Amino acid sequence: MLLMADETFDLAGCLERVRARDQTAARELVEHLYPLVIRIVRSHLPRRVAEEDLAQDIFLKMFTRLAQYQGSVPFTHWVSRIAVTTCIDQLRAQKRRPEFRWADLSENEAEVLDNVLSDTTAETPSDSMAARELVGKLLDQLSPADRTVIQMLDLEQKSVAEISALTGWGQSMIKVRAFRARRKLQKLFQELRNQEKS
Amino acid sequence: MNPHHQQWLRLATAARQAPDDRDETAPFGFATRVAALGLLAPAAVLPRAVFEKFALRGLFAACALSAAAAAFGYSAFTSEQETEAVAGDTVTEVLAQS
Repeated sequence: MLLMADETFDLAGCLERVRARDQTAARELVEHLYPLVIRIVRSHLPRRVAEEDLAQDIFLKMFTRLAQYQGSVPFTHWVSRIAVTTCIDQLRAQKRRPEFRWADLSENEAEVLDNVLSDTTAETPSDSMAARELVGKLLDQLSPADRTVIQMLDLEQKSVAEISALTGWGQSMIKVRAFRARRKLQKLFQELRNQEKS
Repeated sequence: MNPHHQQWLRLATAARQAPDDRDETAPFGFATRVAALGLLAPAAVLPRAVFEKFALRGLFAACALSAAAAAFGYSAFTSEQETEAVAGDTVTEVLAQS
């Protein structure tokens, strides 16, 4: 959607006018970038934070740092990086992570988890909505940085290089975080299996 | 592959297939409000920019100080050398005594 809009939207001209404090241009810029920002916010949304508030924070950061944008990377990449780091900061601000127990899962989530844990066939669970909810709860158990890496690697299917560009972390650090996160997920699956048995 | 990792990947694959039909356009009034707030907010200053701002002044101050030190130090150094040269010359000492 953003790519299609890119063809007609004069981003460079708009940025020029925003730098000259043109409010209409600033509004157009927000409207143009909103789909990109809200997609990042929704995929990394910290618990109990309204997506609109987080999107607003990201846009305000974008405006206050606009003078620092040198044009070495596409503007959308620069804004994406602000969005990702803002989401990680929000996750870090929420230090407490809710405990994850089998008993707290909804009926559909429990069914999906049961299917994943017990079924040895390579079939994926059919209830994708419940699977998404369940994945969100599992990711909540990880540290903000590990969560971000796993979210991007396994759910958004981004490459390590892309994650590095979005977060500013080195590629080896990303690999270490992914290894650590997967080990933690493995431990969680083990615990859930034990809870299910008991 | 680790069975737990396979379980996670199957779950992630299922989660990816979940349709997301949420609206991606900015809510009414959002862009206007954020644009107004954004243009009102003061520009963020990088720590590097503060350093750059003071670095140039510091360079000028350092140049002035080194020039002053060289000027005063050179005159003191040359006068000291002249005194030493006179003090070490035995002919001058003999002439002065006679």
